[in-house]
Amino acid sequence: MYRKDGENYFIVDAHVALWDARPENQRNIHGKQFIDCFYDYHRNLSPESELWPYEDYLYYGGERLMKDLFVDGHVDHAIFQPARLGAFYRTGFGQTEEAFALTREHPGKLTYNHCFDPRFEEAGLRQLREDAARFGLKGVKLYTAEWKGDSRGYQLDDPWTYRYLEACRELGIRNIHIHKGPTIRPLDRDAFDVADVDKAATDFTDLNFVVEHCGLPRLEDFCWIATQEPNVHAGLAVAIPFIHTRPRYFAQIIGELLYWLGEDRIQFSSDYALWTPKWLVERFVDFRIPEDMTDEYPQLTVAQKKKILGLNAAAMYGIEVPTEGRLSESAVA
Amino acid sequence: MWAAQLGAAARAALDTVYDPELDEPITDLGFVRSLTADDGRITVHLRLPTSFCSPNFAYLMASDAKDALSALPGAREVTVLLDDHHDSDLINRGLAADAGYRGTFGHEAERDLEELRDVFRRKAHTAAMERALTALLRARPGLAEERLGDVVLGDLPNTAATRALLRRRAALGLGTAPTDPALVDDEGRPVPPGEIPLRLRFARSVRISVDGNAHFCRGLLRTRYPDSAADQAPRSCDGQNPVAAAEDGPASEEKTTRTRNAGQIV
Repeated sequence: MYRKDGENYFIVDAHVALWDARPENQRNIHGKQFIDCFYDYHRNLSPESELWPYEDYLYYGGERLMKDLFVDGHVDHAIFQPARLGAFYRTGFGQTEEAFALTREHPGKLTYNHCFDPRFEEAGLRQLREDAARFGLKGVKLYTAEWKGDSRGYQLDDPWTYRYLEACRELGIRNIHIHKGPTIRPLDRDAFDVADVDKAATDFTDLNFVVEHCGLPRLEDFCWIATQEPNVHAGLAVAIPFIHTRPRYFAQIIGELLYWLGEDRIQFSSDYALWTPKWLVERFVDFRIPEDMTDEYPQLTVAQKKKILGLNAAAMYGIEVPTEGRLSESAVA
Repeated sequence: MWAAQLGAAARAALDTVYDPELDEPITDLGFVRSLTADDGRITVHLRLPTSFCSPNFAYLMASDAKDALSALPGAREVTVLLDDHHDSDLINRGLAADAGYRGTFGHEAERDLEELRDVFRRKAHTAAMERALTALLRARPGLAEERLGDVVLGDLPNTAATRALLRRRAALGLGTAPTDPALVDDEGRPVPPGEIPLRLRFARSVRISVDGNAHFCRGLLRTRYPDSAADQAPRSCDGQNPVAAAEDGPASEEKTTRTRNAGQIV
């Protein structure tokens, strides 16, 4: 629980990873290109004091993760959202066994979401059922730009994806996290387009669709569909670190999200280890819309910050919030 | 043609090549890593903010660059190379063979990239329209948002924002006559009064998105290639925004006074 100015903030970090991008796990040049791209994001948006050496960034392990999130990072609960990236890394990018072991070692602190890829068709469906039972899945993370053989992407409204979503419904996997990437089939179209999320959200109204990095780089398309689909949510991964380098831009992002989606459908995510949660939580609690922008965007309230930092994701995942971290009646009103 | 003349012409040709997503010339963005022109042979290296920038946009910019350079009278042989991208080999092979989009991407390409271009021309227009109309609302406090439907292009002041809007309209095939309504949808149709506030609000989110991406891409390019800072020009429409996004790090002020040198021009 993070405490500031007499207020308690229950923190759920809704998007963390335990990855291994060391050279021995890289399958080819793309494994290096991918982690280098992440590292540039990290270097570009982090305050200087929070920068990691490249070697640490390649692999940090469970102990460091626990420290960065729960000892230093103010986090009460974190959710693994692994990307497989099997075409780039030998044992995958997200380390399933290590992350799941950590989840079992620290019950109540971590939730393990797994990933699926509808292009594995029947075999993948069987695997999804096994994974749901083994991991007790409440959510899945889908990276639509995953490369597989000669295919470099899929969409949420593909017939096979629908079969997987039907299985999710049946297995009690309610929370579908979507991470759009740069490739898609066919390449004629914009890979970041979220029209397929719109369709899936309309057809699966009992599932939650959390669009990671709130649709960036297509914030506007995301806001537009989220306005129309009450089961579409925004994950703040990648968006929230702008709070440091470009606070005015961050004010615009959060202002737009609050306008189009409202305060109940936005979730905090550090995207660890892209960034560490400590400074993000502290900066967000302190954040104010710059005075000359308050004509456009109302100031954030404490209750809104509490919801975004943890209460929204806790509600979605059924995570129990201690009494002191809940909203008081007056704050709700 | 003299090498220096051809180099200058090549540079000017590259100024006409736009990143469709960011609605800016690739030269201003610092995407031109080097340019050499000698005895009719032009060689250009392009660089992007990450190796995982969308390959369809990467291909568009590289092939547009090749087309623009090949059209120069003094150009005998044009080589455009995309550096350090996950599809560099594929794209560079396709460019060298003039294989076109489908020839380059094979089964991943269905038809062409025209629809993709169109989507981003529409976004560029929407953002430019929002800049111009929000500026007008600021300048005329008595003007209600709902009345923007009565505003025609001739009512807009002769500013950079208005000129930018006219260019975007022309690119999209929309009317540019002084009597044409300023607030229109993607097809050039006027917006019913009741829908104006929402439409303007959505246009604002488009503008924020495009501007935000442009700043992030510039920053990432500088992180990846520190020497690219000298080649970047400030985003020209920043000054047109009602709440200026002037926070692109300490480098932005320096850049306005610095002379750009787009790679080495030989």
